[in-house]
Amino acid sequence: MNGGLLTFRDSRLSSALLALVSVCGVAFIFSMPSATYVSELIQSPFRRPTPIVFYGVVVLSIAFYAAQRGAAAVPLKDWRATCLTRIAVQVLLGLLFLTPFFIYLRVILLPGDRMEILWVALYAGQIGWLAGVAGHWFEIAAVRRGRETVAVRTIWLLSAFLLPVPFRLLGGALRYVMYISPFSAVERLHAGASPTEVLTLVLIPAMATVLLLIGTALSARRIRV
Amino acid sequence: MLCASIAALLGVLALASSAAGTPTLDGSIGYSSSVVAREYAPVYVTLSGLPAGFSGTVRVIQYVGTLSEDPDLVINDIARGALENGRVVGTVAVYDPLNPVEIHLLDESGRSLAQEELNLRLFTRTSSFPIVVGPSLALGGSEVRVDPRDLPTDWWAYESVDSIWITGESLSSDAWETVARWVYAGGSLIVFTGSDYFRVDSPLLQEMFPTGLAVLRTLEDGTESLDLGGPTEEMWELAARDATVLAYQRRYGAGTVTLVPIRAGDMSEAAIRELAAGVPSTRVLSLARYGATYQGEIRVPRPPYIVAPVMALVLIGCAALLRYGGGEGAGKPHKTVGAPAVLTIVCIVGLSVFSGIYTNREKQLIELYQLDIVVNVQQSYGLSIGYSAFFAYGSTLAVEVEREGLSVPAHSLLNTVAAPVFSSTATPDQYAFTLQASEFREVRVYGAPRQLVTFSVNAAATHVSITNYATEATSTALLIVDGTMYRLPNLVAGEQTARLSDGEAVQLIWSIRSYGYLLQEITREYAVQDSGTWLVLVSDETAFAPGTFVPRKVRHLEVYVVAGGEVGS
Repeated sequence: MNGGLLTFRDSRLSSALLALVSVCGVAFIFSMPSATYVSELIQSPFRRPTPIVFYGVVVLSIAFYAAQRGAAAVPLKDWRATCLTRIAVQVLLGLLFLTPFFIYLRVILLPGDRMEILWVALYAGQIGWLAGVAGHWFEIAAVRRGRETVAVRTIWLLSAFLLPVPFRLLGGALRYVMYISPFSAVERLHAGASPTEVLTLVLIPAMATVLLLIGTALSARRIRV
Repeated sequence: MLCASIAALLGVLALASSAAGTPTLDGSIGYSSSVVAREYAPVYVTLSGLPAGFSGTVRVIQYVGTLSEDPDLVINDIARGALENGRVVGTVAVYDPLNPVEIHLLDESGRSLAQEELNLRLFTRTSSFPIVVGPSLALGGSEVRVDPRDLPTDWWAYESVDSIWITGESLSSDAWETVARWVYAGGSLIVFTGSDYFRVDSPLLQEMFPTGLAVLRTLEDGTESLDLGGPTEEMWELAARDATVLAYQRRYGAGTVTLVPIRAGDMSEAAIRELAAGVPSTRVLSLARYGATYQGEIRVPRPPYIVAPVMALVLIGCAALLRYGGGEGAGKPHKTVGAPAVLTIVCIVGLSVFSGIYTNREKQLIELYQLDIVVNVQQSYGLSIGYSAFFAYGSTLAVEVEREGLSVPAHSLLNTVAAPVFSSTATPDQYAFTLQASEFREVRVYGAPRQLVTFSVNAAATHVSITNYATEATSTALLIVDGTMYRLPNLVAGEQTARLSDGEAVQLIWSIRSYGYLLQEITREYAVQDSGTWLVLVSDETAFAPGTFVPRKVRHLEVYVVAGGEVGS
């Protein structure tokens, strides 16, 4: 694994890509309309097509994929630009594999000039990079302490996706906490967010990534000192 | 002195010109302001002070919801373009009469030059009511007396009227024509005659209720009564408890005409009460019951499910190719981007391009499903009854409905599954509103019919010649002659002749395609099944609406019921 930015001989990369494509393929099927006639659409809301299912699964699976790839990059042993770039490249590779789904979804299931799928893809990339960096950070900490990280990584990811969601039930400013969850964020993007909202939603994971990197750098300096 | 006189004259002229240049309006809605919520009502606006060549808009603004909580705006433009001093008559659907209604006169830039606020709260009825045209008549207190000059010119403006009682007033030919259309659509008309007969009689009344050589006879008590010479086949008597004849009734289209042989003033209150009990209520053909069924039959365009697994398999193949493709044992310990990677990218790009090529308009996701049912009855004057149903899912949509040949905006019903927005803008030829995601909304449309078909049957009743002025082909064509139904080949535009053979009982019309029950109701309501020669054409097309931004699939079901002359005409 100590080679270039992208090494296809890594069996775990192939497995992660297989899982990513399979899960998103299933989600894509669930995004297609199951109704044959309009009467079925009117009677059952569950038979209406909605890209929300696909969007939600894409951000969740790309997060798991990236966290796994971030953890796999730990043999680099320390934070280096190569490591961060490698995570970013592997997230982009995952998105590249999902491109046909995105395009097909855009053409078939999103008529008109609705371009929120671009923002969803951009947001998924940000979430992937954040999850990759976090996965790498967890793995370094675990290696230092000699502990298993898969369970901790999973719990952290699911918590980040699920815990902010109930805040939608609250009023006032607290309601906006729900947008920390990628589920709520992609739902908002799908509903047609304003440019300011898009920028805010995409900046949240970007800022979280930067904060994580700064925190890690400071921590590493303390350890060295 | 001369200067003072000139100054005074100029002052008077200035005052006069400023008075003439101040537009004012005086408006009213409903029958003596009586309205029924969610039904059509006439609007009268008297304009004055308009300069010559004025161009603007007469706008009626209604508020739906609580005024203090950002209510929805319903805007109806009842007149546009060149306006003159005088009366403008329009028809609007009354949405929320508990809120005040505003009438504005706007100039071309949209600036309000004059306005009036009407409060209908005290005059709102919960159900339709009778109107009395002429001397007042006691009908239990629910009646509204209307001046003949205030009768509307659109037949659907009578939607909130239960029955029209004409008590000795003569109507203009326009008013009679509107009344005749309304009665044909299902209205109930009562005309008192007696010594007023020659005053109220008109060619249109004769068409609705032919009296032939009726004469006036003086009864024992000195009142004059119209003698029709006994009931004919097409009419029946309405008898009082004491077996005396109260009135004669006759069916006209889907409605009923009641002819009372004496003056209203010569009738006792008890007799009027008995008469009122025997008069049927208005019942206009309702297409709403077919709406959900016919809209539900529209197919949802859907890409095949196999597409997703195929794409996933190709992508999995790409991943496997990256893992196992070449390089192993080739002396390349760290194989990076090589031929397999290039192949993978080619596959992904290929799939992406394929997805675009695969798609066309037929396979696109449709955001708006629309059903239009239009029933055109071509008779002496004719009428058109329309119904549209809209269903949108996934997102909020701005919907525009163009109504060629129909002069009224549509009317939204409160039949929705999501929090609806009732804001709408209606002009004489277009209706625009917003549909919420997952919202199902119904709309009623009334108007005058398009005169699109003429036909004649030869003397031997073996052939029918039809001229179809419409451009569309028909899905079903039927000729009905005195209760016998002949199926004709589908018509195309232009002239054509069809042979009549294998007549069937018209009662079997219900078995025709998916819209048989609609045809059955139409032919029953408009007495097509009973007698006469009728041509019934149906055009049923489901297509993507051209020229619309929102992908919309529209099922357009149009029925023409054309009255013909006698066989051999």
